[in-house]
Amino acid sequence: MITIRNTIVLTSVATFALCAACTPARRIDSRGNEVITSTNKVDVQDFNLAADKLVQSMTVSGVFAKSPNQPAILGISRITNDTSDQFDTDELIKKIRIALLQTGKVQISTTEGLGGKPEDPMAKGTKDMREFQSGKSNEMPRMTDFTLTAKILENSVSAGDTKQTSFIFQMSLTDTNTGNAVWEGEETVTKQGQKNAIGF
Amino acid sequence: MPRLFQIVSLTFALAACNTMNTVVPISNAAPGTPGFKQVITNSWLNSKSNVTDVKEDVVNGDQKRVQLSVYSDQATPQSISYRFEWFDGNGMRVTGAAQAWQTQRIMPRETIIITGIGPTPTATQWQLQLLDTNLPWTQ
Repeated sequence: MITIRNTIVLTSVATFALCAACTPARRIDSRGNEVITSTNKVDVQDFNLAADKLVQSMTVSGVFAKSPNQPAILGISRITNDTSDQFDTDELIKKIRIALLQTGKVQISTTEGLGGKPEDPMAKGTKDMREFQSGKSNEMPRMTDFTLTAKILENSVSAGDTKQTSFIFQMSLTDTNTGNAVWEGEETVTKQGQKNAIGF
Repeated sequence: MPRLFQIVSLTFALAACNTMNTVVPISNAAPGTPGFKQVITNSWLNSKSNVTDVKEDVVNGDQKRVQLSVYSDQATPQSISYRFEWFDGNGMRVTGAAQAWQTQRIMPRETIIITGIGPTPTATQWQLQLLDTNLPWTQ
């Protein structure tokens, strides 16, 4: 009787463990708390966290609300990834752009870009054509009021099998009238562990 | 058999423990009463993330900012996860305003400050969601 009961218990535990290990593919909330936290790369939730914090800081500073031109025009300047993780910096910048646009106080220029390369060549061409047809091509165009630059850095250490990686998101907002930074922010996301895990 | 039943029941009970606590503001609160309400479904979570004060103001000209004081009654360091949800004046959820879950470490008997800013000028109502992070199977 005891042997049968032990067999049932062990079989149940083994079955449960096997089922738990074989997680079928499913869609999860990318802003939720079930995403995988890795120890050596920037995860999607790291971008979410950094973007939320940086936008909050920018909002509280009131820089855009104080701009003489409303809404203020923001240009995206140099964004540098100085980490060992090869990611597209738009994973951070696009979130910030969306959040700033939602405030209603900022518009993002897609026809002016770093090195004269517009983000949207078709919009640039259409805008130029309209200005030419309306005779405004000789007028001084409205320039960007602010530019945004950013750099993402990495700092890694380890203690035995435990790895700790810090990703430092640095950002500056420059007033193009004065050439001075009117806002700067820094957000650090630190992760520690021996291996990747699900959740926080 | 009874012991097996107890083990299975305890497992399911623990799994069901990580329910969400919610904090919502109360409009037209009576003088001297808190201007917020905590909807507590997880008393253990509440013991380490009890909201004691709420302050509101406006930043950037027209965006609501809310600041909550959260107190832990525990004798050991704890972790909590929180997220703000925003709604307009009609109670409709502001589209695209879902913020990411954030994790906060809270020391024994510490009061921490949690801040949220409405993503748009129309986001005038808020809700704070709290979840436990210190679960053994999340490690």
